[in-house]
Amino acid sequence: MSTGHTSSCTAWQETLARSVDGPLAARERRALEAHLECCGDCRSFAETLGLVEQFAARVFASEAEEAWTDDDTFLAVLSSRLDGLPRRTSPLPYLVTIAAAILLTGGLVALVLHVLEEKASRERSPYVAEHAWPPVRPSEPTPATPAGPSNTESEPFLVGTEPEDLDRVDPLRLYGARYVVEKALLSAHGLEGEALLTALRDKTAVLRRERWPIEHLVLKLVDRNADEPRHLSTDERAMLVALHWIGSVRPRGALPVLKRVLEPEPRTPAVRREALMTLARLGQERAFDHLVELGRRSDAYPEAAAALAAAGDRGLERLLELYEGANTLPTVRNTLENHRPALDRVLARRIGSWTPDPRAAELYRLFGGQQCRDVLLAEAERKRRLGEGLVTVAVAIGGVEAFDLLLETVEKSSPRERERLTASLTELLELEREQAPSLVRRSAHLLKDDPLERINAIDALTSAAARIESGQASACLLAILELSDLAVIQKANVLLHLLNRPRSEAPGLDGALTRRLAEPTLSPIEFAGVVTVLAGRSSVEDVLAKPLWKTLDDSRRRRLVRGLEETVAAQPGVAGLTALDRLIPLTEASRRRTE
Amino acid sequence: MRDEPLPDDGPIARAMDGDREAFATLVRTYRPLVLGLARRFRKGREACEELAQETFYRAWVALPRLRDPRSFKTWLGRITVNTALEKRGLPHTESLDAEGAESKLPSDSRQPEHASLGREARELLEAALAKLGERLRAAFHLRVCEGMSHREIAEVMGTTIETSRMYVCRARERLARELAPHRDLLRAMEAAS
Repeated sequence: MSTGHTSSCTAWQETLARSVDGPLAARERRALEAHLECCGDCRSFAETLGLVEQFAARVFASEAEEAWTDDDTFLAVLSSRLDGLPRRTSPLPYLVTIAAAILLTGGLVALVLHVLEEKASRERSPYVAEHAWPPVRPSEPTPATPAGPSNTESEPFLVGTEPEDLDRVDPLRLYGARYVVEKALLSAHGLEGEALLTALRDKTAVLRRERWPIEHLVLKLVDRNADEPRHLSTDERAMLVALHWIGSVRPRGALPVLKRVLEPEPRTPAVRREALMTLARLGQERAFDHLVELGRRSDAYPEAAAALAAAGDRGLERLLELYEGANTLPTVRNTLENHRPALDRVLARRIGSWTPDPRAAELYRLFGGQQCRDVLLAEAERKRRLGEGLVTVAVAIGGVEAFDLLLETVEKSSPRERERLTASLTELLELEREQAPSLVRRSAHLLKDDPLERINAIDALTSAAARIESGQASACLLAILELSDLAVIQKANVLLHLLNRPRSEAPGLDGALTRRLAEPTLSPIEFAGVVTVLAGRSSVEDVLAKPLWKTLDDSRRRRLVRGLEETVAAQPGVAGLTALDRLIPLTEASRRRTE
Repeated sequence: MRDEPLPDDGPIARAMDGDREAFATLVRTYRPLVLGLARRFRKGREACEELAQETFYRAWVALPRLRDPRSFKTWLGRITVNTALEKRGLPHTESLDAEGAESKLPSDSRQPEHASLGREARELLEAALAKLGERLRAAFHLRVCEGMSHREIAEVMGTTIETSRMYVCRARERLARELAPHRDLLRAMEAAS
């Protein structure tokens, strides 16, 4: 019975989810039953559906029994709220109620605004008068030390009251507090507004709940700065406190406002920096997009890089993106370097993401630190297999660990993957040219018992070694030849590659091969192959074919004989003669010797 | 499925006439429903309680306009959903309450050795629920916990019956996919229950 999941299973699973609500149509039910009989995935899904439904029902039921506050407390709080409502004895018509509410609210708001404005204009502190906009010059200015809001009559709960008390503040009075803050800021009473905001500093949740529309305040400040750029220091302070709050109180509406603050360029670096930092603190992708865009636009925004770097791992990821797009900015690179532990973590995540990333190795070479390397190796070790990104970076990591990882991956690879891995092996051996032969030799203990995996690994290793251009190809190929338990065809393959390498590449190769001829266990075919290589033949394939002699044409026979003669001449004695004896059935040379 | 609270129309009618005592009876009866729904929209005890307070406050104000006392339950549910959606995005709404998860677990009272399993399973369920959209979450809750029909769910959610079906179906499907790797744990919970 198959358990294979097919693309149509998604549709069946939807049908299964629907079937929980009630019986399906007969035809649909039969089709579903037929599918379930042959699909293990969907059967499991059906079981999970039932289990989830039952478990969720139990969890929800247990939740219902665990009301957090007792009914009496809950009712007491509710009653206190309801007490504020007008007594209701009979239902009023809906429209009349609405109309009355609108009229009442409008009248109240107008009245409150009027009274507060009057108070604000009448009761300005000397400090406020000094910094008021438009400026009002008092006769004797007082030191600008914001000991607290001076507007004590307007919102007593803010003055001399602990911030904790704000939790119990009536929303309407909080609205009044917001009004005072806004008035103070807009009247350029920067420090006074700041003092008020300090009182509210830890009450983000309260302000958030009340949905303080602080974006309007920021926009007013921006417009005023644009229209009449006066009172730089107080305006700056006002803007800084407003920016500080907009990110935490109104994160959803902050982005367009911050864009507006940054475009055109703010009047002071401090405002620009705070706006960029606030943008980064939003943690939204669109905010990061804008920061990257600002960072790319010109060198005028190096703070964009700093802001991204301060925004956690995701910010650093985007900063890497900025670096790739505008890598002429040294500030970006320096900023990245200054966030070293986090950068390693981010880099490791990106490289190890199992998706092709052509920049992975380059980024690793540029920024990869020890921690990044450790994370990558641990990840590869855990999965016992390298993904595309990790293959790329394994080469960049280099060394024994990377070679081991690549070879282990090759053993399990598909033919398509093998080509990519072979290229990576070549690249690695090229980079590690000094220790390339020893790397190949150490692969002996890695090669698995599984014949297929072994063949995969040897083939890839042979191809990789043959492609090395740094003069180590012959040495690597010889190292492969010396691995134990190579199949004959694989030895032939290695020899074929050796044949194509220039003699100058490995001066010691001839000696090593000649020594192999003396080994009593050498098979005739390998012997012939080695001889052919030694004789500098252009092709070993014919030599390895069976029956060898019959397949050779006259010219090739002559070439082989010449090679063998040269071999014997170069290696006289028992070994050479023994070797020739083993080729008796095959070679013209044996015939001549007999004669 | 929880037993459905079914007070007679008396308290509703009296509350409509402005009887605060009758309204208190309704609050006591329907508070679990409102809190349960609130949990699907808000994280944390404070936020849920606040949403419940706001719901009952609005219900009291709007009670005179209730047309059919028999539909009080769905009407109240609708107010809860509307209030939650209206104030959406202020406190976090994306996941369930971890505090609640630890406070009482489905099977720990009978078999202490299952407490940690129960906690784990509940956390997994909450995480999976958190990944659903808030409408899917609410519809699933109303169906599974309150046992509402799709017509009632549609009334609460302010949508059509077909959409309600789709919400519940999608929620089930996604939860099952999300929790499929933990089937053994769910089986254990089922066996322990």
